[in-house]
Amino acid sequence: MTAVAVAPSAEQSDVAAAVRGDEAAFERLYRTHLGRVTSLARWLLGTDEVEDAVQEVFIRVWEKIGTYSGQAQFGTWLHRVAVNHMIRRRQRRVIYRNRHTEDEEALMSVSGPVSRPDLKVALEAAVERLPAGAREVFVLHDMEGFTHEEIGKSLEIDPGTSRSQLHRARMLLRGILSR
Amino acid sequence: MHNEIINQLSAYLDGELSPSERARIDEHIAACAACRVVLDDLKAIVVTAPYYEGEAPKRDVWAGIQAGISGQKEVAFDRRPSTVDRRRFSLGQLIAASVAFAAVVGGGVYFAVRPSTVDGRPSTDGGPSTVAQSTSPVDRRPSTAPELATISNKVRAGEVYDAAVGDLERVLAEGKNELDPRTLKVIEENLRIIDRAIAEARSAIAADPANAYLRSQVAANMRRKLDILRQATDVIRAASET
Repeated sequence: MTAVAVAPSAEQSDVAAAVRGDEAAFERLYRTHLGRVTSLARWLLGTDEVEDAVQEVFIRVWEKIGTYSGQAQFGTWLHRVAVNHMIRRRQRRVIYRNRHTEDEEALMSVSGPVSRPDLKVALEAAVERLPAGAREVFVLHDMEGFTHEEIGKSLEIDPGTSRSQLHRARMLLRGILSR
Repeated sequence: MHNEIINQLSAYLDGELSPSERARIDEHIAACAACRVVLDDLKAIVVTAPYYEGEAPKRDVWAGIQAGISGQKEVAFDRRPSTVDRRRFSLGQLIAASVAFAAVVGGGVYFAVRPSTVDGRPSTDGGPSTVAQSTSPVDRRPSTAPELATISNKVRAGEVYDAAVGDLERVLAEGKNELDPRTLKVIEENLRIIDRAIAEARSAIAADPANAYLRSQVAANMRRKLDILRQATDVIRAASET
């Protein structure tokens, strides 16, 4: 899937219109960001909850769009709203049973360099294969730009655990991508 | 040695090492091709990760989102600049509408649509869990709230809601000349959208009676309708008192 390229000015216009209640403008924003929000939901919540979560996220964004200050990119702001919503949804589900205390697996052997030409596409597929705890930290830190302190607070884990999960995730991804 | 270095490569890439630790890694990497390859790979992953494109869901969920957002934006209630033939409303008429509104917003709406257990008490697990982020205070009502939420109360809440809406709609119909025509148009359009959303959700509930999300949507839209009617009648009342 290819993301729809929207010039910043067009997106800003749509944001301003959506703040005024323009649903057509909001639908354009929805379609622009749908792919990434969907993948986020799949990585953080699992495939069963994707559609419900995406729907809730965009309803939440509509409710909060008047609070968007314009200081950050709209996409960055939207992703923060999305991630926060998904994490709260997970907390309600109480699925954290020992996720972050599982025994450290042996990291995959260093078999060769990562193939780079199709790295972006391959990486998204590879993320799916990570163990849940490593995947969550990788998605939040490397894909969404959260700090370890923020991740620790959100996932209710120690920032040090977040750091070790991140390194584990990167090494596992390297192993997957180099196969 | 290699493992020790490799275990620090993420912290190295993220700039979390002290100068001395960093210098140690630099020294090793300069001399060790194997570790340099690992570092380059990790760097490629870290650099690429933020630019993921994602994949849209198999089913387009826009229709559900649209149903959820319709009518949520506040309407700007501009008062008509001046009216020559200004209608006045009886105090009793306005009070009746206000009291009925307060009674419903005070707790009735949610119970009117909330799933009940066999004995008529509200279920403790049927709340609007999937829309817990909604800002609607109706959605946030505690699941253990009032023991009085019996079937008869539920029916009564529905009746009170209908009465409140009826009263407010009458006030709006009789006083709509007090409103700016553009404002009136927006109000009527919003009310139509909300009515449609309520009707669609109720129709869906008929097929899936235990669906807490649909019930919360009906409750939220009922409250939105009351909010819009209340704001409109407040403007009319203010105009009729001047």
